[in-house]
Amino acid sequence: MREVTFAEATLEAMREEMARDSRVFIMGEDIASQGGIFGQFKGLADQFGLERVRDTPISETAIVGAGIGAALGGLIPVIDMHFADFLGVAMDEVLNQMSKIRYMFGGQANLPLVLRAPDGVTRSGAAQHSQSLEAIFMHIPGTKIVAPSNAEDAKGLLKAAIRDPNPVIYFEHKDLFRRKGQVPDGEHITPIGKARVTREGDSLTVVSYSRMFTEVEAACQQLGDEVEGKVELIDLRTIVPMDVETILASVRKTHRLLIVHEAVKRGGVGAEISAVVAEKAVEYLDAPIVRIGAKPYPIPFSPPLEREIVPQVDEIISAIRGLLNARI
Amino acid sequence: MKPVVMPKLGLTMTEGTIATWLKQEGDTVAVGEAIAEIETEKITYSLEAPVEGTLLKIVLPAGESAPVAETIAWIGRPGEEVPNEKEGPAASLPHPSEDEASDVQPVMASPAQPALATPFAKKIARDKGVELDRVTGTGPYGRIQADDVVEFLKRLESTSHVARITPAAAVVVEQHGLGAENLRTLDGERVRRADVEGYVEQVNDVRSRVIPHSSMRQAIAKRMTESWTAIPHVTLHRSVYAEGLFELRKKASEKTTKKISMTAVIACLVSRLLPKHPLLNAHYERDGTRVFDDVHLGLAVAVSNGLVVPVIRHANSKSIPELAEEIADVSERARTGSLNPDELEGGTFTISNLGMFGVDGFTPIIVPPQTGILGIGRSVQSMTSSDGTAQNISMTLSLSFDHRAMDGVYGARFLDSLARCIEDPMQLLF
Amino acid sequence: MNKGTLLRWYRTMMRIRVFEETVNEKFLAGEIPGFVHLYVGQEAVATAICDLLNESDYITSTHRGHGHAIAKGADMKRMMAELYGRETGYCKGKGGSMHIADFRIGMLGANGVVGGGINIAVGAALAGKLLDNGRIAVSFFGDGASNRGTFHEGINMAAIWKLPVIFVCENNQWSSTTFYRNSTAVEDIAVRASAYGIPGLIADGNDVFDVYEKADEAVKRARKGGGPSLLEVKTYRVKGHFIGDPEKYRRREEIMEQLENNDPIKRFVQRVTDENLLSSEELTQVDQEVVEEVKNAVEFAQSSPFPDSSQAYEDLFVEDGVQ
Repeated sequence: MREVTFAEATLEAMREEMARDSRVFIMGEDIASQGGIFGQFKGLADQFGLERVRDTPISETAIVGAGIGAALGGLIPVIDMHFADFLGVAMDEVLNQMSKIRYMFGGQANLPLVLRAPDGVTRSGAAQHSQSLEAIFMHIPGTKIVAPSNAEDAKGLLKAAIRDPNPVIYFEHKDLFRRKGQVPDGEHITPIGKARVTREGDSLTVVSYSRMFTEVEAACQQLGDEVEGKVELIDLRTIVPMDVETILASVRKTHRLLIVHEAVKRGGVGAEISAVVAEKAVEYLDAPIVRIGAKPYPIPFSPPLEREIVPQVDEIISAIRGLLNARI
Repeated sequence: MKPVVMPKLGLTMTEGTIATWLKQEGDTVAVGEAIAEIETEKITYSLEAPVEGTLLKIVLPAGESAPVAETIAWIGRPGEEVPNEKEGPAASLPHPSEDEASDVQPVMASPAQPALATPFAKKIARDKGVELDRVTGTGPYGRIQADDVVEFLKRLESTSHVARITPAAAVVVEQHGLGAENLRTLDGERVRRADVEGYVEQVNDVRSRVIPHSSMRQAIAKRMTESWTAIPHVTLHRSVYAEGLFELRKKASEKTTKKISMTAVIACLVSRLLPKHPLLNAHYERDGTRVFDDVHLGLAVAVSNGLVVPVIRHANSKSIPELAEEIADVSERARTGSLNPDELEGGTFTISNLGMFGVDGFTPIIVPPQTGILGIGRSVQSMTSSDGTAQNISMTLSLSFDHRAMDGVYGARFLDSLARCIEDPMQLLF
Repeated sequence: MNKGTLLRWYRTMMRIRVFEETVNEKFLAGEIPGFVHLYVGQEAVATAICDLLNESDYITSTHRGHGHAIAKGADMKRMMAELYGRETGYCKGKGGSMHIADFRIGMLGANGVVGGGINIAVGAALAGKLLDNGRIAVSFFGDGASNRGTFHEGINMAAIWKLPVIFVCENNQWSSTTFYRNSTAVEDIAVRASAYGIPGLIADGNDVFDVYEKADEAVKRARKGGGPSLLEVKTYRVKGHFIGDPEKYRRREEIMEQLENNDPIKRFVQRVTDENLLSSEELTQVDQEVVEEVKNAVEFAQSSPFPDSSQAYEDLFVEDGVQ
């Protein structure tokens, strides 16, 4: 194991996969000369050349569209969206092309393509640079979605995404890039579609992912003995296809469920998980399912306003306490 | 520390009264130990401690009432601080501190709703055959949690199998596969082996035979079960001075040679009064309550193998002699089985008179889709004045009504009007 | 042009024409579900351009895509079966008229979104360049698509990267029900090429010889690494936007005039007969063979089974196997 930052872990994944397979290339805005806004592409151009590490015009539609064409033409494109918020610019390419091509054409084509989408709140990015949009894309059949919470999975999931013969949106939280974590030496792949139980307990299941997972961990740390052996913590890691079995098995054991994500609560991944649990395990619930997510407003700029809209550790703590003590 | 809440002891109970506290503040209590006697309008119940510990605080003093699920006491470790105020169901949540997000507030039903339980609590109860009405909920708004059911089961086990039965008796119970319900029929502080054996012997000794259900019995069984399970019945009883009735009967008898029955007199008063209380002269339907302008009065008539309810059409526009004649006619034809099927349909309210059998009062069962039924008890001489000289005739009326269609006050007002009319038929004119 | 080429062009144009007229007939007979856009009158464009491509080269197409698929070498049986929604269709009945693709011959799909195929062609050309496999890409789109952002972004990107791609704008003068001059500020869409620093060419889209000549120039440039070209082919959509279009927006005389004097197949026959390049017996033989071929395609489609409902759950993801 080595300690590296989340950004370095993604860089390791890129280096390893580009070295392993000459079909892998990356394109996006400001990645070759600048090395990415978060340093996540630093040095790649020097190592692999400007043909395989391509700076593009500010043309998200063309970047994603051409990525699809390149994948159909035999390459494995990794596309950097700069900010997840800009997926909206290329929405037709994601919605009507990328997500449909395999199915609509009767399985004739494989579409190995990774969209890297830095998302989430960091340093007052304000309304157009702070969103968590996974739920929108979860609603579109035909695309896989992953969202690592730590350096180890950042590397493992990116490698898995690159090797997956299907389109994958890789949501990487901007605030995680600088955080350090342990990454295993040598080849490391995190399978897509498998959640991870990081803490076992018998009284409350907490499902989270991406940065909010680290906030749930922080909450548990603060609660200490209060949650020891009681809270079962699941890092979802993959949004589509979702590891429903792991969640259900846990809820059948703990009888209580809390879902925490940074994305807007309304119509979010938490709503989907709640519905699945209600459909498949309602008789095991001993309390209402509780969701924590952002309030349904654009992310405001000013720090106190931003904190108001985005879930905070305190909110997680009181929800955990409330559920554990039958007060909710 | 756990709150002790006012238990819900039946479908209709909304509040209860502490008759007496059996434990005082500071006393140590064991799980299942009786700590208070609780009275409702129907029963007295021993409230058992839900957890072991010290009775820290009595919130609701003896003689006072509280709604179901309200905290009435706290049990915990000595020295634990009890919340200041008398905490209602909503307030039994800890006060949200500044940092608690409003988003995490529970969204649950209001306190007055029946048997709140979590799905998992229901599952355990179903699996273990526990009736949730018997379990006290400790969750928000008195919601029954899985733990409450588990605690209840433990208590049941400890009381019925450890405290109240000797080990030797338990073996016999086991051998004969007797249920806990059977044991409750036994007297005595502790059930002993001899008690159980005696009970078993008694059960085995009973000679019995099966009387097959006639088709009428089956029909009645079906209809009664439907009514009783589908309709939330509330029965109101009221004593009335009945001289007025006898007076009326006397006057009516002067107009005819036929015998005037007391039922006819009451039927006439009820029929004239019902249009002023339309929800009782009605059918309860899915989308609303259908109220009728005219009164089609059903009369419960006992026949040799059961019961039929012929209907007197437009009873509100018929005189006492007319009603008396018609009632005599349908009763006779009911007994001989010569009623037409349509004479049994379309009733809007029903009267059942058991007074002639010496019954004081009873809880009649509504004939669906009607919303009410009046039971008539016997007339008795009663002392009324303080010196015991004056005597009066009194009678008990029992009104059952469908609580879906109306509330208690509505039924009570009808009964009150009826009582006044019986006491003074002139009231009908006002 | 040698005889073989001329016969090949004639056969391709006739295959498209007879296929489309038959589809029209079968659609009106209620045998084909969905909605269908016909390529009638534009046959010369797909025929000439695809004749310049190798099987391994790529094309992307439009909602009016049957002609491109046929010209690129698609199997009419499987096309017809797809239109009929049958299991034996190109997309196993999941695509229909607007989503016919044959990836084995580089036909990367018709596209239900106007301008949706432009960037896919750009990407395919990028793959050809990075993999250095000599493949080029052609994107067919209409005058309507030239007003979409994908047109701008895709051509600009292909131009800066000098990608081997040809942007073929089939100006059939009608974007759905709107005359192109009511939605497009310039008379010649080809002039827009100058905004991207690439050549803009114009061809008579109803003259297979002219389309061939201009496209040949663009294809050669692409193959030599000279980058993309924009080729505007002026043609005319003689059928409605879709089968069943009431066509209230244009005069019948305008269509009759086109059918009479500007039909690409008529003009071809006229020329090869006038110049004694092909005999009428040779042409008639092709006609008979094509009619027979399309008839077989219809019979194949009609006799093919509908997909089993379980197939609705297949082909979303590649389930196993890792790249």
